[in-house]
Amino acid sequence: MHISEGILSPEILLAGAAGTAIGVTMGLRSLKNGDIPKVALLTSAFFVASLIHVPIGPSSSHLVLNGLMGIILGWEAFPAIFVGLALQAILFQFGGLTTLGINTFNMAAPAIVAHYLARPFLKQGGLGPVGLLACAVAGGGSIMLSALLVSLSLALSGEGLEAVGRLIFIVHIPVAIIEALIATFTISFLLRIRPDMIIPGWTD
Amino acid sequence: MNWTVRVLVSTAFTLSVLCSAMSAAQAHGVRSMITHGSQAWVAVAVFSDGTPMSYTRVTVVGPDATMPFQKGFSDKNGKFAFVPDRPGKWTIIFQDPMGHRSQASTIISMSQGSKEAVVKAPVSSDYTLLPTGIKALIGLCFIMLLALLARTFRHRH
Repeated sequence: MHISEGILSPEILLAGAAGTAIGVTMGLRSLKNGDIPKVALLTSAFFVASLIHVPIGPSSSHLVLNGLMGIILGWEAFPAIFVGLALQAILFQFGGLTTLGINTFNMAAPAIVAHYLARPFLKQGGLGPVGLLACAVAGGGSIMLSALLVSLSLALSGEGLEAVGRLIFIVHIPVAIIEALIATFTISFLLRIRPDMIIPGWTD
Repeated sequence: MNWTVRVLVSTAFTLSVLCSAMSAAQAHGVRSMITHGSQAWVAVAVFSDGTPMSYTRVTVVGPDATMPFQKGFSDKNGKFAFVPDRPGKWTIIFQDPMGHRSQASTIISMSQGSKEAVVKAPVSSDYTLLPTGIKALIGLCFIMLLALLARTFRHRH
């Protein structure tokens, strides 16, 4: 879902960069010293997940894990995704440096939504069915929200990119299902072995 | 060993193993190459697992040119044909909105009285410089370094 350089209009690029600047600032301000290993771990997972190629019809996609990052990290997901995408752009030419802002925003903003969606249910439900359902919705929904933002970015840039945007949305439905399962199992597992990693101060 | 160091060390180890495995397995990179027939040249782009980059936007740039010579889309098999009109370095870029991009360049010379092109230099691709696994390892090392620097900086302030 990385948008390449030379496709989007300057207005969309600037808006994305501004949104990312705000998000990264918020993330760095909320970053606690003890959270740095957790952020590094999830940044690494995000960076590596992009290398696992999932063929979908005539195109292809890969795991994103932004929903899972959002649930665990909250606003800290913004700098984590920014670093992951910057490394992907430099090392693998996925996306580009001028589109780093909009690509980060498109991936990280849904992560924040996932965070606020899942967190209240986790506190109330713990390992219960409501909490797991909230994780699944947050994990899968963040992918679909990212696909929607990418589609909107393309559609607003004109050049008849609406059809491409629709395609991106459709091909990410299987990815969303996979990520819903990953988020559910990961959060469930972490709540059992390291609950304080999900909710600070909460121990089993 | 405190929890922080344990997490960093175990992360580096796990991801190194994962990334070594991935260099041998499917990766999400793409590569392209250029071959030539009797009239036209054919550029082909494939993902690193051999899947063609079908119906992808292609740009052909001629020698010493700033404007593209030709634009279009690859076919089902990830191929794109073009007919160069002058000798020199030609560059073909495959790029789709999903973020996949592959660029290949080759030097073409026109033999006397013929439109047939001859390869003078090996085909190059920006995706063949380093294996995917090595690039992934570099990225992971950078993330770990950044985390250690951030911790050190925050301890001092």
